[in-house]
Amino acid sequence: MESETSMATELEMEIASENKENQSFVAVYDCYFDQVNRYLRYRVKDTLDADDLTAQVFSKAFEHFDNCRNRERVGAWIFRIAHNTYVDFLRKRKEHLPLDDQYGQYDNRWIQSQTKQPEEQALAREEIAELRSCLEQLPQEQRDVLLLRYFGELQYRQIADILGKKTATVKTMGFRALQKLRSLWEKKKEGGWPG
Amino acid sequence: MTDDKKQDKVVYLLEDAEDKLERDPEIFNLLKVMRKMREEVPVNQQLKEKLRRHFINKQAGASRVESGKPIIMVHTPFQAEAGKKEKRMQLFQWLFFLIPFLVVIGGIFYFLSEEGEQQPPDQSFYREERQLFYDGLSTKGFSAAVSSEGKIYFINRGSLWQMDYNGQQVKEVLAPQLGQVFRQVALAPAGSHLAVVTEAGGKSNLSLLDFKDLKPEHLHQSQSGEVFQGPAWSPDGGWLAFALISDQGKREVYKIAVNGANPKPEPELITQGSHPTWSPDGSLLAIERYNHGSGQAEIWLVREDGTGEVFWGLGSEPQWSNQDTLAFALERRWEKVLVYNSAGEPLLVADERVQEIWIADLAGIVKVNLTHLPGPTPEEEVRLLREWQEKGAGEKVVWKLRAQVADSNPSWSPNGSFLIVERNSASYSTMLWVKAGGLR
Repeated sequence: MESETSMATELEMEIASENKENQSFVAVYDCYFDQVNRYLRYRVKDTLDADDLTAQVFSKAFEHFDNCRNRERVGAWIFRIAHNTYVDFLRKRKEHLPLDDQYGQYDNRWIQSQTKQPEEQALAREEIAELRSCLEQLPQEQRDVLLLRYFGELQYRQIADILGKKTATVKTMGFRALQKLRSLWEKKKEGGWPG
Repeated sequence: MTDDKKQDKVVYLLEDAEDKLERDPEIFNLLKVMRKMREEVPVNQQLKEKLRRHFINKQAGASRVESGKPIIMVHTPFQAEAGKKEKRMQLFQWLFFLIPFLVVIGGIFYFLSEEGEQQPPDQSFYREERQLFYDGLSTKGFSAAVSSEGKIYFINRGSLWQMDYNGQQVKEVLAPQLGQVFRQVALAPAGSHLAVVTEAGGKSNLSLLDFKDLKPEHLHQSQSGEVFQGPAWSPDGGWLAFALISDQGKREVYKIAVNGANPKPEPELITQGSHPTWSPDGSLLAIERYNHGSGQAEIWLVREDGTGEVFWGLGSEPQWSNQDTLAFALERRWEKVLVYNSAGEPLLVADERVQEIWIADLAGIVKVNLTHLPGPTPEEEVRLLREWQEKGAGEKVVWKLRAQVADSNPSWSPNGSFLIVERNSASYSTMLWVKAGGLR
């Protein structure tokens, strides 16, 4: 067991040294796993499915990593795989793109998993539920842009790469999505949003 | 303003607008909640670690495979030079085997392409025929010969006739003497003489006719019961080949010198067969033979001295053009199923053999059917069906039909551009002008 660990450490060190000159896959993996996993966990109603999809995304990325010539855009490339994998998953499951009612339960689970006071948890749950509800009302493309931007933590240039659109178009979509989200948010507040 | 600049401006304005929008307190709160929501979504750290280890192992395996590639260790300049020399030698050895191999492969491809070019008939060629002469008595055996001046000499009802190549100016040239009939005619290459076969008193005579006075010059006479057939001039005009058909059906090809000598030379036996025709260079003869085993007519090539016989192909009445093309008559089978049973098997089959005129290159690779006769007519089919039903319409019947017409006796024009062909039926005989071509 010891030898295994030391060997793994050695390899990690080798890869780390390689990273300086040539970006290794593990370095990319380290950089983007959290973002991809969060993005998919948010978008897919079942966390187990989301984790499966995350594994699929990085397996695909590992397989085709040599074909990714533009390493400067590797983030967009990984997210394009993630987005396509997610779309394929929905197609296979025949799910609808709009978020469904079950999200509330998953939100609860996430929040319960954190070490928070019950009052804070309840407040967060309500805010998040309202935000989800607003996001659900956005057109699919605008929702994609917003989720990739604020959940995937990507630049508009990267989102444009993923969605196969011009950066200006994606920016316009993001701008309009935010405006619409604000108006929806205000309506919610007027209707009794506890905020 | 270029498109790029326009786009930059749009992006700048949007960024500016977004900044302003994000500074909006409502949006700020909204984004704060969204950030909170993102942070609330936990990352599966266990999966992350597990996958990480997996990829590290896989990547290490891949690099081990890469490092397993053979490496030529070169340490010194001498070894480096030796390594290069060895590589050059290896390359030379490869080329030594590769070049002859490529030459052979190239040769095969060239041969195949040459052959392939010859195989498909000329697509632009279309069949064309015109009737030149019609005889309602169906006398058969026109034995036409075409002169370079466009005159066609032929036998009609025992006399020697001529007409223009377009069927005009038809007239009798020479009537036979009493008790004599003209059977066949062949025009000398120089166009000055006609070789004619006449029959009188049960014997065949081979004679020459000079166009100047149309006075026959006797060459050879057969025994009683024997028939001369198909005189053919050698290209230099020095020989006449002809077939002698005995009363027992034996067929032999002879040649006789045409040199004006007196006494006349005796014919020389060349080989078995009939319908001789000379090659353009005069070294070979094509002849017809009947294969009793298969029941089919065959064309053979033989040297003019009778040696080196080679089977050429199926067909009869060969005629060799000065373009080295063979015209010949060939039987083609028409088989048409008129009635099927419930299991899809044929019950009534019309079977008809038609004889048509074909041409082919000397290699026999490309063959073109020039006259293409139709098979059973609709009337014949109806008649067959009616008779078959009257007989009970039971078991499978293959009904052999006699062809209504048959084409025969092709004769080349001097330049090889057309053929004069005979078409015979039970009630008439016609002479046709048939366009030749389609081989290239």
